[in-house]
Amino acid sequence: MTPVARKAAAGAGTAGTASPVRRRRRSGEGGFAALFIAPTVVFLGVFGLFPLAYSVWLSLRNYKLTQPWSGFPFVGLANYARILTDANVLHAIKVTVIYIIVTVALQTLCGLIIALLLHPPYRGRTVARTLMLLPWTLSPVLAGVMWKWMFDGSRGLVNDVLARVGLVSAHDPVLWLSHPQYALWVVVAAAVWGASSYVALILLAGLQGIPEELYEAATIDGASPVRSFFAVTLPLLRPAILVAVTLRSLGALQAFDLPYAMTGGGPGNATETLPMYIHNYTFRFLDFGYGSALALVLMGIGIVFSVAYLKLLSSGEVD
Amino acid sequence: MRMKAFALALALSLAVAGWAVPSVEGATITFHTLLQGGQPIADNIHQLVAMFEAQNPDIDVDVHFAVGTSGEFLNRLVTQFAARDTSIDVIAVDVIWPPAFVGAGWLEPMDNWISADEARAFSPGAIQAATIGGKLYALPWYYDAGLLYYRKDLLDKYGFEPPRTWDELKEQAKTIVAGEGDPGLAGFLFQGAKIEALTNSYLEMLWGMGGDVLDEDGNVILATPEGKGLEAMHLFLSMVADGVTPRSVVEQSTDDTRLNFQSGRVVFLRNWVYGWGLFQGDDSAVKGKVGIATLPSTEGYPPAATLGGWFIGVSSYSRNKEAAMKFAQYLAGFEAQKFRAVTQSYLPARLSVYDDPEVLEVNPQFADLLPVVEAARARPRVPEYTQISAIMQTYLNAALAGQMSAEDAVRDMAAEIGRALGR
Repeated sequence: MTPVARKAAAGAGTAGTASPVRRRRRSGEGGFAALFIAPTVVFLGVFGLFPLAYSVWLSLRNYKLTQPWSGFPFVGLANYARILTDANVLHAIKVTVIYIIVTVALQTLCGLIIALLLHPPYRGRTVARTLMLLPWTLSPVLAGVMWKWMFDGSRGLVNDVLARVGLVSAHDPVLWLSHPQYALWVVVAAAVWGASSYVALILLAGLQGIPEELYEAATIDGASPVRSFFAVTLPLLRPAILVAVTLRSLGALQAFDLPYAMTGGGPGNATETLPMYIHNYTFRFLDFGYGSALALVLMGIGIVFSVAYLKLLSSGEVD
Repeated sequence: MRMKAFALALALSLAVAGWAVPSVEGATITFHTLLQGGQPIADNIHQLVAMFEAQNPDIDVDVHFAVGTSGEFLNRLVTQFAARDTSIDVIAVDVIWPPAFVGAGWLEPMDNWISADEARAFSPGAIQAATIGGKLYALPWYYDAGLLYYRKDLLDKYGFEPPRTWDELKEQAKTIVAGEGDPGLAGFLFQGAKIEALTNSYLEMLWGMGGDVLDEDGNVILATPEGKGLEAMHLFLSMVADGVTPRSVVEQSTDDTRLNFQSGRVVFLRNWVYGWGLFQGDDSAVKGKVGIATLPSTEGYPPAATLGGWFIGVSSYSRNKEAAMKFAQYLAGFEAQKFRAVTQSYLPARLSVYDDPEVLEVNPQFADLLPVVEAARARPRVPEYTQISAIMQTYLNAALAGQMSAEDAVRDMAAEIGRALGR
């Protein structure tokens, strides 16, 4: 890890507690410090490292809960080999990747627009900022059920409105959530609606960190508002955008609650994401070995995203 | 990963919570059951619990309803059992679960409490469904089977007898819908959403033409000519293609179809027994206008219904097994089964209830229903059944939504079932 990257990580989480401890290691204080970091270590050990190690152990076994008589034998990398030949996994990965790219792109765009609208001072701005956060505060499952009802083929609000203005027939409605193509885009729309305000929150903080003098200087130099947006706002907002994109990518990678509540992965498996597939194998089919192997693959994809983010962020700060 | 950590955290906190409760016999026990049919059914179960508590003042029963589908209830139970959750004492068990649950060691054997003589009070088919490796793991609560509900008033109006074949059903439905001239009236509804009843709706058409998923040796024959999977798929999809079933069936689960029929918007409905009592309720638009028949079949083949039904099991992680067993025995007992038969027309699993004059007076249809249920077919009794059904649900739903062709769906479905069974 580069020093800059470590700094970034320190800002983001708990990892930074290590360096002050090392500097102040004198008689007695070490034990005292250990006492303070013990809860973190225990917490990470119990809730992070142990489940991770246990998953690795499970993924190397034929651990089908429905076959306890098998003794859950060690099978080496057989579960991983199976992933490579499982067409449904590849489909789930494809759905997940499309979902990540489209939702994150749209969330960033919408979040940026919302942030720009809420940045300049005007009457009622505080109220608007608070209201903006409402979709993000709603539990994804609740939001999913709400969207499911809105887009229900027979009784949904959307079809009702479309039927009233004569765009669809009331007796032969569009089955949004059961349509092989539309279903995924409705889920994407719900995800964009739900998390854009979260992106806006991060970007708003970024906007507030841009010194006003830069805009004054740009105005004096004769830059138009559009020019100063591209020359001042966007470059200085880059770190905030990167943070938002990474957090949302990791969030989208774990997409389970929203599609589960809205489509259950259907129609067929058209909206089945990798986390949903993992859930099916682990908790419905009770194949903990294969489920764990899949979960570790998902974690691998997450690590790739995180490393790419750290690289991008550090290169930005060195510039 | 986060999900795993969460599950572990949940398990730990539940374990801690479990230690705090003194494991004294006669404390509170929990009863977890699926709720389909809404408030009337919830009230009914609460009444049942109150009757039990009145007779057993030292036991409190805490009812936990799972709202949704049987599959969603299963997901929740599996998560809790996998975490060895001790807060579950008594559970309602779907007829398809015992092989997997017993395999995983989650159900307490009942042989110490229930003698072979007592077991004979129930129908042999029901006892067999809950007996694994010679041990009884759950008590039969109520029977169920796939049935055809029809609008008696509409069939009478057009001079029809209940249809015996699927072709007759289609013809009658078309005539009635055309004659009524109501674009909001659907001819036939089955369950098309990605749920267990979708598998059953298809299996009933498959079995009703002499086909099957597995042969006697457990080989997958679905995609072969004698398995008739493709023929059944064509029949299944023809309901929508011929305009008898609305396209929206693809997103309708069991209770959606029940509600649509109950509000008078459907001529024929494939559903379970629980609908009957609700259709006769005061808020039902079809009160007194509903008839029951066996499901149609293909010309020349006997009709086939899916055997359904619920059992009462006791969790092997329960800390109050003595009290839990008492409650399970009460629910399977004469008084409780008669109560549910009289109030909700649920089919009792205890045979002597069918001889009770009061029960027969409220439920003259029982005389016709018992043979249907006794002749109903059990779904494949393999521990992988949940997975087989999930595979079928995915492909049936995809075909119904037009995501793939009937040929592709049957071929891929059979191949994937074969892989799930390790063949």
